[in-house]
Amino acid sequence: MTTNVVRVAIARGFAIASGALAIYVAYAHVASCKTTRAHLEEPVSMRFDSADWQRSVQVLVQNGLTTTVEGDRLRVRGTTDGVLELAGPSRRLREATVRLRLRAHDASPYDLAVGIERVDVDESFRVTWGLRNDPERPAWRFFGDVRGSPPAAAQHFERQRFVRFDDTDRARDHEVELRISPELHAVLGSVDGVAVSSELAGWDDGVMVRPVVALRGRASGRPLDVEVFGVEYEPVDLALGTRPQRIDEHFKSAILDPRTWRVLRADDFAVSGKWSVGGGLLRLQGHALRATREDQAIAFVGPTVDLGSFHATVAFKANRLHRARFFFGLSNLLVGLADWRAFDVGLVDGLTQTEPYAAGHWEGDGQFVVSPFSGALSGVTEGELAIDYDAASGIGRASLNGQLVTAQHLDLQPPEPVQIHFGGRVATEEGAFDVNVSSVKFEPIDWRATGEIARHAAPPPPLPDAAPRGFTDDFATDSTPAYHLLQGAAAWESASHSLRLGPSAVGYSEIVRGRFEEPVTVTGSIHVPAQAARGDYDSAGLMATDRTGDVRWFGVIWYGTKLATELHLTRHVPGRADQFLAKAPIKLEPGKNYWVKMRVDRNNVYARAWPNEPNVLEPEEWMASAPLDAAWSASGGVGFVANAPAALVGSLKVE
Amino acid sequence: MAWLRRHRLFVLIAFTYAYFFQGGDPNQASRYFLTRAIVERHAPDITPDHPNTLDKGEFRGKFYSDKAPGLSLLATVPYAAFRLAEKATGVDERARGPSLVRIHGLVFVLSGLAGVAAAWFLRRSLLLLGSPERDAGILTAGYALGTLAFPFSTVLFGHQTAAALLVATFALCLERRATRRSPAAHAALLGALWATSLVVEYPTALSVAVLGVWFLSRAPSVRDAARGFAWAVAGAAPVLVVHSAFLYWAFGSPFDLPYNHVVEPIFRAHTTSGFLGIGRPRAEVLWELLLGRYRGLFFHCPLLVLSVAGFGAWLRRREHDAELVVCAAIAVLAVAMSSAYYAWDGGFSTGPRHLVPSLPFLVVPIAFWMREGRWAARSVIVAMVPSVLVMTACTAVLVQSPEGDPRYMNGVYGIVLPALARHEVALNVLDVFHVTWQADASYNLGTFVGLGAWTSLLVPAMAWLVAYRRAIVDGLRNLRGLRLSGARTA
Repeated sequence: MTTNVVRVAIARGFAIASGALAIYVAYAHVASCKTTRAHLEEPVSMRFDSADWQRSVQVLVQNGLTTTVEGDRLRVRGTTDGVLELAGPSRRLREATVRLRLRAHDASPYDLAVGIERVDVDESFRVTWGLRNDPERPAWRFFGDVRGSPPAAAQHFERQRFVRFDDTDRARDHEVELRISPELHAVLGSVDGVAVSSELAGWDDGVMVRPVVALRGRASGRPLDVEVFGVEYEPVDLALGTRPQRIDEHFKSAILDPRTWRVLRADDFAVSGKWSVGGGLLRLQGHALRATREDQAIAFVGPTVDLGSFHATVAFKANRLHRARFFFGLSNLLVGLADWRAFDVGLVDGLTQTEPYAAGHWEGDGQFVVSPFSGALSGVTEGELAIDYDAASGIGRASLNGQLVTAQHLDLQPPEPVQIHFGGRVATEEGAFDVNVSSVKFEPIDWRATGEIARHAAPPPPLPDAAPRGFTDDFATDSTPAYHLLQGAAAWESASHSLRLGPSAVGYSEIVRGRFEEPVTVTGSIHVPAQAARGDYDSAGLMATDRTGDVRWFGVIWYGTKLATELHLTRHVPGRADQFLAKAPIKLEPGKNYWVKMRVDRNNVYARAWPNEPNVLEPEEWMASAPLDAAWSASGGVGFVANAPAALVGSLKVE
Repeated sequence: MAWLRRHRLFVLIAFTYAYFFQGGDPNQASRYFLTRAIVERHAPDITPDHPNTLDKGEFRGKFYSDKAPGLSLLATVPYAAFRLAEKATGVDERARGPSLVRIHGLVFVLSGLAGVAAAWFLRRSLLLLGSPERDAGILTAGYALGTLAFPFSTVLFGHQTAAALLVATFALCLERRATRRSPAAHAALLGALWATSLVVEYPTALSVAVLGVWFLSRAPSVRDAARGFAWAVAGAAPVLVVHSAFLYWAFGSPFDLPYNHVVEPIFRAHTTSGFLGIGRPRAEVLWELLLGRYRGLFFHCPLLVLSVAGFGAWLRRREHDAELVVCAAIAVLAVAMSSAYYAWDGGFSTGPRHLVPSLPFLVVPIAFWMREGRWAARSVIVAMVPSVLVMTACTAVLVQSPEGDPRYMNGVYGIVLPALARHEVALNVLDVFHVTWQADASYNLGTFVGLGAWTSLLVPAMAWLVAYRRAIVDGLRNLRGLRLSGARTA
């Protein structure tokens, strides 16, 4: 009886499941109808076989040239002062070809090319392929813009493969074809069905474009006579996509899937690199041969994907790393373009042991930065490098074995296309490395679909509630619960009404309070201990953080026995070497307290210090100042910082 | 005439399958070249033809088909017959017409007739499991025209042949039970069929195992089971020996499978991982296999959605529990293995082609669903309509739908229906005999004689309508289901 009831229940469940599946399948079919409509969009055909050809072809510019229809072609005559530009209807760009048939009757200097042009932006961006006619050196070449989007910096093709157009070719018709591949980020130029040149080109899928034909003279007074046949713009099916794809590579195959990985090897002249795969390991080896500078020995490059939030890891073991580095990260288009941007984390051999480092573009100035750092992660040769990127905030975090190496506001701009990569570089003529990689994972989060923010990224350090402007804390009571200890140690000293900062395993002790709005001025008292109680490199002072808590400014007094006594303005980012941006000498007396005042406005940081004595007036001038970096985001916290085993600080005042 | 009327269902299925020719592709070419090599050059390698196919292996400087050799070995007989006929009639074997006739004929003999056989054995199975003749006829037509059996009966892949062999053994086992006979020859026949299925499509091993266990479990005693097993092995032995002999001939070892020598790096990167590219089942692939718009089984064949309800109805009826377990196990294992296979989408394919051999076992439970009531039977008819339309469209336009990103690739709505809207059929321009594209690589018999795209599709449609005009009219009149009464129990 019970069995029968169970069977009936299962049967009903299956029937319900079947119904639900049927509903979903019906929905999927209805929803798919728009796919058919999209594929029925007609290709563009610009014909010149009748007198009213201008009904389907828009004349953008016609200056100094005459056009007549001769049979199925457009005869263009005039002089090389003239310009003629024609355009067809607009289409949404996807993998496509645009073809033009032409005949050049003379050797005058003019350009005749076919291509596409953006129509959804105010500025004109165009990429074309065609004939650069010339009496001396006629050639087939690309014209225009490799990016298809602003900014306009380095927008023109800088390198051209010279493809000669022979004089004997003038007697014949030629079909020139430009293939635009948003998926591969390339353009391919072909003549008479033969591919002759290609270039990287950052034209994005889905932008609105229209086919164009451009005829432009480059001199004055020379005769111009060309025939232009029809123009065909046709989408091409290419079963690829730059939507983020998950990678979970464990290297268990005998070879790598070339759709996932491209291997870039050195030239075997200056640097040699080799690799082997199988049994769950990818082994990378490289060494310098005649290297005089740092060079890449081997790199593995993943598929092109649109940049969004992601979590990526590489599991590795460095068997050898000598004058070399192992890197893991991502970059936008790898070669050739001026807007190259990257973010890498890896290992480099330091003076005595391996050190983690980070490299990339995060200053907002377009410049590449390499920042090695030492600390608790020094000497690590095995483990997992990870990168978390939050597309919403633009912050990338790199870590080694779960410990943060650095967190930066990256210059990469979502959703620009990027590729993950890893590999080895050698630094000198002695450089060599041998690294085993056991897995690479890339887990993208399609933020365009989900709007999700940084699922994997560690959240910024939480800050306590906003402190009221004008707040003062003389530490008469234990107010440390109202503060946020970023790192190190801090304890209230009831006897001296102060805070004792340190000791800290990572060097710095940092404690902050509040969220401030610029401009803010913060003042605090710093105790300079007796000479015997000082360490070699001790310092203490004030600090202010940005909104993320990652970028920190210090206004500190250096009083370590091996240091010159100075007031320093220092920019600190975890995992990076400190940047000492301004300093001023200060005379310190042991056992005395000193005021430090620090001011942050929207452009600069200032600091000054003076003895905390009743009869000593505060100086009127700032002793040190430095500009804020462009990436600075306000509304962080303010507080104390010390690089000392036991630093006494107190009397915090925020204005 | 009476025979024709009695068997019009299968005649129509055969005609429909023969009507479409899908041209070439690397998979078909690889199998065809092996057949040609064996018959014409008496060699196991396809080196002279290898530039025409991507699906190949390399061993000691020669190129080989990377497919299970069973289908190519079976094809040697009709291929040799075609060649003899060509010689006898003085036809130039290299001429375009005879070449197309030869390969079209091979496809029909190996896959088309396999599709007909699968339909026949499916109907036989349904009747033996107690289905009314009307239901069996409807489901047989639904299987033949509304599932992937349709497109894959028009290409020289091994899936449909394997499907026919598996469902044939299922029907034979059921029949043995019905007749209470257990001759040794019966077991030997089953063994031979199972072995043939194995060497045609290696992945059918799991289905063969399920059917074999079921067959042995039904023996009255352990001794009878042992005897059945022995006879089945005896039946399988000649097939397996031929297979191993071929492997020895080609690769110097009777156990060195062709997949071990794959050339294409993209394939090799995966076939060298796991067991010939089979790893762990993946949930996201499972979704795509069943419901995805790219290759989803239910998306392409909505009729099979009712299999789920059918298994439930079958369970509730407490009939043929062992057969229920067999069908469910074959279906589940096939789906699980496909979801674990690196090339789960089948490359250039319509739907999840690796599931084709298991499809008859997904249709059987629908028969039990039809017996749930009139509304259930009507739901089958309703689900059959889009299934037949989608499968007909895919078969008419392009079976070798290109591979792409499952998240936005939609072959039915992105390729097939736009082509039909543009009055285009037979899109495939890949040709077995040429490296370059050929405009006449694929066709249907209508376009072959000059009919327009849509007009050509009316020919098989009209044949079905005329043959079943009375049943259709009756069905529409009383809405009690179509009466496909032409096919009767033998």
